[in-house]
Amino acid sequence: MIRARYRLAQLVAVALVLLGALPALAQKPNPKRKVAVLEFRKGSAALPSAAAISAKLLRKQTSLEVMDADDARKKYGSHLGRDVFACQGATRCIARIGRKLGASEVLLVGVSEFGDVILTLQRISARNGRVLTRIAEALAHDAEPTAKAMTRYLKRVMPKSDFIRYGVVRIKANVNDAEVFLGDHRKGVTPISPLRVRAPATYKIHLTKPGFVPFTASVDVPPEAVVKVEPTLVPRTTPAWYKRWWVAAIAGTIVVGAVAIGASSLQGPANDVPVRIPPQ
Amino acid sequence: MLAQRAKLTACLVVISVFEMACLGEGSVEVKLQLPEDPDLSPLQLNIGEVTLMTEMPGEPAHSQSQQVLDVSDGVDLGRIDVGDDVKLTLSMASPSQRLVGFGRSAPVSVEADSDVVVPINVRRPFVYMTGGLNITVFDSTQDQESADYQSAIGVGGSPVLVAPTPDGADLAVVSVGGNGTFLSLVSTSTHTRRDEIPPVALGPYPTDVAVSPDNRFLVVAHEENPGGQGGLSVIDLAAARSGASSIQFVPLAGVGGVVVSNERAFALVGRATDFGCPQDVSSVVAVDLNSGATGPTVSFDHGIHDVAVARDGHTIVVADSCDDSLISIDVDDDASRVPLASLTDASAVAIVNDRVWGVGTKAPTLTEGARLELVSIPVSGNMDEMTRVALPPAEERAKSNSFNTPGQRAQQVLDADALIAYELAVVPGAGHIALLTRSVFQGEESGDLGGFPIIPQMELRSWEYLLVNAATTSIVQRQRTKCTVEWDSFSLPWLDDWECGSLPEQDVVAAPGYEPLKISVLYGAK
Repeated sequence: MIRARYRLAQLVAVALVLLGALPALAQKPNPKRKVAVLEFRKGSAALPSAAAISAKLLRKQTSLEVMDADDARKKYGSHLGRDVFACQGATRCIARIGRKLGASEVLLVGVSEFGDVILTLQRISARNGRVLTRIAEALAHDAEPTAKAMTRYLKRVMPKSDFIRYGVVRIKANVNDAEVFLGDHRKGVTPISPLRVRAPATYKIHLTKPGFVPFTASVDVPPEAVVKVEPTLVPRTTPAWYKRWWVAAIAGTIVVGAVAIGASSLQGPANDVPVRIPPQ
Repeated sequence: MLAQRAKLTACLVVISVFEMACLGEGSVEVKLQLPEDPDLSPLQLNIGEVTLMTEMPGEPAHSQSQQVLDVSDGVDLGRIDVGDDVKLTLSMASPSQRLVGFGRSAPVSVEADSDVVVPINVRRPFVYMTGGLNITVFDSTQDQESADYQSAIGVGGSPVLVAPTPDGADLAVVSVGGNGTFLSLVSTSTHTRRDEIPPVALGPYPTDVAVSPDNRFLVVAHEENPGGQGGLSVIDLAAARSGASSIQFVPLAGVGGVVVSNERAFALVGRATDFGCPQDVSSVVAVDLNSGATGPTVSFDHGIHDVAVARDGHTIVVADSCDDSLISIDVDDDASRVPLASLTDASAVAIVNDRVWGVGTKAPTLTEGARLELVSIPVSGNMDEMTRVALPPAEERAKSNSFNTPGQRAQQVLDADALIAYELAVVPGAGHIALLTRSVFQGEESGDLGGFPIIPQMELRSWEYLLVNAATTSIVQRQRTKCTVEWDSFSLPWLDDWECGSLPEQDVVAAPGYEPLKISVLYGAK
């Protein structure tokens, strides 16, 4: 146990540098495409903020360029609501509005009533008006979906890839030929190219080289950011690393960061899983 | 130093949690079990959209749809919540949104870190009808104009009752032949009898058949007759499928119909079958499927035409033509009889998920014949969600054969004076409703030429199968299986030779035809 604690204290060698957004990832559909979130109501005043919440959640959880109602109105004009209503849900008509907004897709949030409140989410291609995906949920009149529930709906209607975000871990060690492990996976030896990883997530980084004290660190990788890690591997012949004066000074900072990581990870396992029909 | 140790311990927790998060994500793979006979497969049709509905105990069902070009390429259906007893329902719709394929899974456990394969028998929602020499099969994915909208399944003997098993794999068919009454299973994968399973001998006078939603029990109702005892034959379906027969007979006098929940059968004793409000007395008797114990009994001081049972297993809904309504009754609390919807001459009822469908008849007026009326309302009785549609007035044509000269003809258009839909089955998704109707058309004597009527007084009787689009009320399939016409020859009418004519949209079975007995829909509801 004592030994493990000492190893964890090696976190002192980590420096986190956020270098801004990464270039768009080469995937289909483009995870950074522009999506206009529009609202269509038919005889219902329920769920007054369904579209606004959808836009907010998409902004927070994806890399999409999300255009909410206010953004869309600024670009399209004050008659946006009237024109959306005039479409009466016809997807080609909605697509025309989407094209005028410069969006690749429109997420049409529909609210109507058929006994219960019916919330519909339709992902419409602005190019041709094709409905790419859609879902319908029946909600009680007084039930405003929680952010968690809305997230679940959005994950069903938007491509899974939209919710997969990446960050980069850049490792620059003080020695060459040290083996680099990300979690349990060996990634190569130093000097090593930047590693693209799923984000947000916490990763254990482990470097080892014969004759040197192994290095272990835990880093929190935010989405679309580069986390720079500069491990210092200390030769075993030199005084024990933990006797150096700067150990205690930096350890505090890193451990506080790690506790924050723990709080986010303690949310537990996923509450939903993908479902598909395999090719026949 | 103590503070530093505490912080280091926190780091250990972080590493442990991190490792948990590294575990792989689970997934659900829906394995389509398609018919062996490709002509029965939904994939032979043009599919534009696939919808997955997920039901979890205690939570509202939700669905997600995916536009597809070719299901064979695989379909990403989004994500579903993890949980136990998750039921998946898969439906495939044509580009025009017509249901062309349907399937339902057994309850499964969806886990966050396990891959689950869920097999689903995916079938076209066929309508099966008995009464003829074979089972008549109507493909509800086709309009009547399609040459292959109907086919037939021969099972040996005369099939009188048919009910698909809720897992979509088989049809339970009760037939009557030289060897008595017997039950056989027909594969929905091939539309052929499963010859590896020997027929199960049953008592005589079968009136109805139903299968429990969990596929455990198959129940056949028997009418009482001098040659046989009335009651219910409760059959272990798994045993029947394995070639063994395990029948528990529950004696009950005069059972005319039966519906089944997972635990209980509800036998309709003294079932009314005629037009209007009958004088008979009916009751619904609950029968425990495991023990055979009977009770409680819900009694009526008049005849009841039909009964359906809700998913909760204790709420039944009856079609009460005397009270002109659909009535919800908690069988465990007979005092709670709640009128759900007014429905003149209510004659048949079905429950789809938590929604009741009923059919009744609106009486003829001075200008129009009788017409059918369909009502749909939640089992909960929320009137705000009730829908009510009337079908076009029923009419038939009687054709005179008295003209020999080409180019001449006489037809009498007759409005329905009496009409009853005695069978109702709802196609999955409730987009279409299948009905069996019996009608009486009476024509007055008319015309006078030299003291003799030109057209005699006549009575035409017809039996029809209808498939109705529930949204538009248009009739997309219509087949008259039997028609008879009688007229008053004693009045010496000028036109004294008549036969049933036909309507342009009506498919007609050649005389003598047959009176259809039962209909059911694969994955549908009755």
